[in-house]
Amino acid sequence: MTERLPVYCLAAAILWGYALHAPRLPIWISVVFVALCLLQWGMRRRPNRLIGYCLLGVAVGSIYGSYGYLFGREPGLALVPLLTVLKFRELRSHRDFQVLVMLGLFMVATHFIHAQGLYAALLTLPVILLLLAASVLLHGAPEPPRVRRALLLSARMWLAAVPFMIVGFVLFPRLPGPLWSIFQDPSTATTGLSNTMTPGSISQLSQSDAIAFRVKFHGNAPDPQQLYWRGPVFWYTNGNTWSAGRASPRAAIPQLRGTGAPPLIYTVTLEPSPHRRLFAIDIPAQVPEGATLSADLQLLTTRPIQQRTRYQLGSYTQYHISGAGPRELQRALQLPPGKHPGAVALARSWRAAGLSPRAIIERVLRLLREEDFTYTLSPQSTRGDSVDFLLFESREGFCGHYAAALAVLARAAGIPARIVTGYQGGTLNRVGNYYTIRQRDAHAWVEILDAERGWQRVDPTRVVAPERVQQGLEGLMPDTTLLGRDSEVHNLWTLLQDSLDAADNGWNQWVIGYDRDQQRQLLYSLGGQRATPWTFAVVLAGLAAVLFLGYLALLLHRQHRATDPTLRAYRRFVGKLARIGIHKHSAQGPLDFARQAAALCRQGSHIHAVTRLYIRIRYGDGQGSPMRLHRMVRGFSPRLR
Amino acid sequence: MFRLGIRNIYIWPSREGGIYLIGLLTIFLCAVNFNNALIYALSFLLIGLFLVCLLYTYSNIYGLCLHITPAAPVFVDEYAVFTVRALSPTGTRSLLLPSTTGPVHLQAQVERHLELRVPARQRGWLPLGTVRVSTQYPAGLFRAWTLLPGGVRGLVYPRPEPPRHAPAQQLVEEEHALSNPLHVQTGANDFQGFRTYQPGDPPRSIAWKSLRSDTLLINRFSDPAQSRLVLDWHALTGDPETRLSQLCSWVLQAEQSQNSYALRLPGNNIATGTGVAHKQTCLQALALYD
Repeated sequence: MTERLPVYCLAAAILWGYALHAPRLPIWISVVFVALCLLQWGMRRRPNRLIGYCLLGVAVGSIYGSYGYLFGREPGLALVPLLTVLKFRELRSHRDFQVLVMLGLFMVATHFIHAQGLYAALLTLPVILLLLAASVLLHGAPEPPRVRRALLLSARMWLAAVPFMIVGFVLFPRLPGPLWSIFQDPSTATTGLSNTMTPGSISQLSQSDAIAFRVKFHGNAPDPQQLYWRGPVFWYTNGNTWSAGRASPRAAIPQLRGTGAPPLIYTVTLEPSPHRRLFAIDIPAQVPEGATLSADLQLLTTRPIQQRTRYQLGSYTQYHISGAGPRELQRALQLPPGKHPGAVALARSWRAAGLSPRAIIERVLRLLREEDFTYTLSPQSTRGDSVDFLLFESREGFCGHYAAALAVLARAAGIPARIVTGYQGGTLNRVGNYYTIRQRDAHAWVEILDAERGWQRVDPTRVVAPERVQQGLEGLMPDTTLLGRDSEVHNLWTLLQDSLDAADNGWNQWVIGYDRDQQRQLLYSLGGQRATPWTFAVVLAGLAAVLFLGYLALLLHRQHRATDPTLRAYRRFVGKLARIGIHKHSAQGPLDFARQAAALCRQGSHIHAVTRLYIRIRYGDGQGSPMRLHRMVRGFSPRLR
Repeated sequence: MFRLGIRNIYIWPSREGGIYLIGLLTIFLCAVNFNNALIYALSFLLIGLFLVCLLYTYSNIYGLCLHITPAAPVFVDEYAVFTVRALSPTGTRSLLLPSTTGPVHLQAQVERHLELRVPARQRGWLPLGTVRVSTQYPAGLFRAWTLLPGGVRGLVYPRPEPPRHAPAQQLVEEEHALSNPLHVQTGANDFQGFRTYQPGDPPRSIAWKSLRSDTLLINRFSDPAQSRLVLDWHALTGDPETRLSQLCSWVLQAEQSQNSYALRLPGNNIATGTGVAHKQTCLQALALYD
């Protein structure tokens, strides 16, 4: 490569692309690698093959070192920027140059696998423009100021390509599922509800502002108090930790029936997680595609939710669930032998007093409400039995503690109970009119099997700290904001946050989440039920063709206009004569041609007049009017004698 | 004038374009496999850019007017230079012509004369075949080209061999040498005096003694028009090309020394004469001899 400017531009693009990936790579490898490759390229000698292999080894070794394995999606993707920089050492020919441009674009593509936010996408734009500008500098040789002109031309080309992108993006039929399954990565732990619960575990989540999912209600949004998003259900306890236990394979899905109000209809956009769980309010009225409903009414998918997923649901908030089978009853009454002696004794005393199951639950709730129980994120560390310690000593706990206590008391009194974890509440985004549910909204409650109404929700936290349920956790947190919660500045700040989140959500909904289902919905709404995706492929091809021909016409029209109007009129005149068989030889002058044509045509005088005017405009004093020539040519229809 | 338009512009992805398409396919497969909307968007953007490049490349040479003029005569082993007159209505960047170094940029509405150098390897007419004029503007993904019909030719004279015999001037002096292929018909080159030096005078006619004085003088012999040489094919031996080269060399020498000369070729006799036109007639006869 003799030209330096295109190479500098390419280097800038690749470094930018590398910077996007850099946070996911060890810092030392970035520094060493980029420095070595640039240095070697700068020396302008033939790249030493041995050094190349060494660098490759270092790259692979460092990836192995930081991931612990090599054959998987993550390490594979991490290798892309390293190999791109490595290839930069070998930049010698135009071919290498183009390969590097493509590698740069590939870096952008692999970056999108990790980061899909609006701002992440905007940050990749300079890479694309710089790569394009590098190509333009190499092949298009713009005039000075070269870099600025190359960037301008790139931006123009990018703008011209955007309509193609939109048409393709919206209309190209999305193919279902992955083409091939590459090696599965070990699941990466992210925050979220886990598959077991110890009473304190949920309070860890309360520190996290990470978004779990967003919900948009179709129709009126319900009271936030009613928003109980069911997640993992726990049956088995060893005295401290609750887990799902072993479900009976024959456990039948109970009969569900909504009572009273029609189901709530809403759309959930779930953030990726290593689990296979969808969240629904209370009892789902239908099961989304690709998910199954378990016997304890959890919505489970067949594969982990690795990408942001959207699903529409209907839910009953008032419902009736048919009773449990004997195996289920047995699981719902399990207690670890010898644990929670105080709680068990208390419950048995109520039972012995002849209280009905409902009265016992009422008794527990009254106990929690009337005695001096407090709700806190950081309870005293448990000494001895966790439930007894809460009930009889510390009297402070988080939702998990109270749920466990209620479940143990109920079971000890012979009432079937299970613990449900999930999320409760959510924050309304006033800009986008949707609810955001964050990890700190994680919650735990209890479901009790009622003889008449089936499984019913009982939330002990609601009794201990009603404001937790009404206002969410934020209402309980100490006011640490500088200006107080109700000041104007705080309101503005909330509005700004809401706007940013709404923009992000819109991007998620309409760009990132634009999938097969959404495409189908859009296409149906545009073209009716009869339209298949392939008819839209035809429309896509048609629109692309229209765009293409439109651009072509625009460009060629510019060329056409640039031609001298006088010459254009004369060419048209010659063309008209050619159509009746009088051809102008390329070496023939206009006068000679006029004489020849006039001899063969009826309109001899007109031909001479046009020729005289043409010569006068082009070669004479410049006084003749091109417009008049145009008019004369337009009205000219030659006939042979 | 040859005007580039829809009938004579051809366009196809270049090698860089092929690499681009392979990369595009990879990115697209990534999009399908990971079902990633942004990678989908990127691949559609790249498809769009590919099409936009096609249009830019095409319109870069659309409307370009080209005209080739014949080359001036040259000798074998020199380069025949054909001139391509180019006029672009809206400007053309990075135009590539064979045998020119580097791309050419044409400003809008400004006529430029581009040189097309063709090596002359053989005497006779050198026809210019179709000329491939191409461009890879703006990003190199496409090559648009046209096949400019040549239809013009240039004349190639035989290679003037260094004389194996003595130069013409000396042969003229040995006027009685009958075996000499240059028959001196008339005109003894009697010394007739001096004249002042003019640029272009052969060095051997300089009167070297005049260097002592201020003015450089030239030995003047009898009027060159009077000394008539006959350059005769039959007086030479060897294969035809060697003879033609020798004759070519003598024509140039005779012209340089301002002698008048005649050329005798089998079936083509050119009468005695002198001057540029005469030289060209003789050289053309030599070039086209068969």
